[in-house]
Amino acid sequence: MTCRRAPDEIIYSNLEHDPLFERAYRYSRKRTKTTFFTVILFSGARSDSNHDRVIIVFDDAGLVSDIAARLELDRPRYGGPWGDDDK
Amino acid sequence: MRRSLHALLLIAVMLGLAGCTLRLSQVREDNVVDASRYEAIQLGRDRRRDVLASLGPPDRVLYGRSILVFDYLWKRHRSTDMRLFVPSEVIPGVDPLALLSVPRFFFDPSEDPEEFETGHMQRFAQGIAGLATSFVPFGDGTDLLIARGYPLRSDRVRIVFDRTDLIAEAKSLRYASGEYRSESLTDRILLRAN
Repeated sequence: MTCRRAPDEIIYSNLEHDPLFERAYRYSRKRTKTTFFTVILFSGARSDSNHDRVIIVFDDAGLVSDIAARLELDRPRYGGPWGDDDK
Repeated sequence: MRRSLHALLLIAVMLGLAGCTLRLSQVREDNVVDASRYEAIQLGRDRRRDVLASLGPPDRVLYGRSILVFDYLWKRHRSTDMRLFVPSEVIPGVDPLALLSVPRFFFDPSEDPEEFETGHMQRFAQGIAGLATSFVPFGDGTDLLIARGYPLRSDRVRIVFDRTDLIAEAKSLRYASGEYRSESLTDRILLRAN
């Protein structure tokens, strides 16, 4: 498999105990938006992070058996620390 | 009028220098796992491919002896607190909060007070870190929490596959009201049916 970027993590199945050997490549990108302010005695902060994630699972022959992606890098928002807007 | 304003400003500056800060903070990572998609999972019928198509890539993959585990995490922390950094924090038996009669709030029920039962030196170090992070901007919310000695709570959905790639177990673990509550998918569906 060729890819522009090295995976963030390669997860191997347990070769010793599991006859079905496979490996998963996990890619992740993170974006954080932070609001922060301090007024002498009072400080407020809010940090909102979201990830882009891709996982590719290869079987023992090196062929892709499963793939999934979740792209949410554009989801984080700035806001006040008192907000309660669960997504 | 001007004199009283000066006095108020002086008190504010003195309290600020003493490290007395009221802080509101909220740290959030990722979006909630869609409950309806989770509940649509069929135990003993759906396979890994179905779960990946429905819930997307997991945050963590664990291979066991004959099982495969997908963990989906949603991390969140909210707190409102007033903290003091004074030298008396490191003197055993002296509570600086009682000393200065300043209340300490924990509005978030998910905060476990036991997390703060730390040693004096650790509290001292956390006090310095907390004071520093009160006055400077920060990049990553997770780092901020670690610097202040706060844990980042997470809700979790865990899907366990058996040797034949079928779902053996699906469980959601929610942190609410100060304790983790585990709920299996079958329990939840039964609960809704009743």
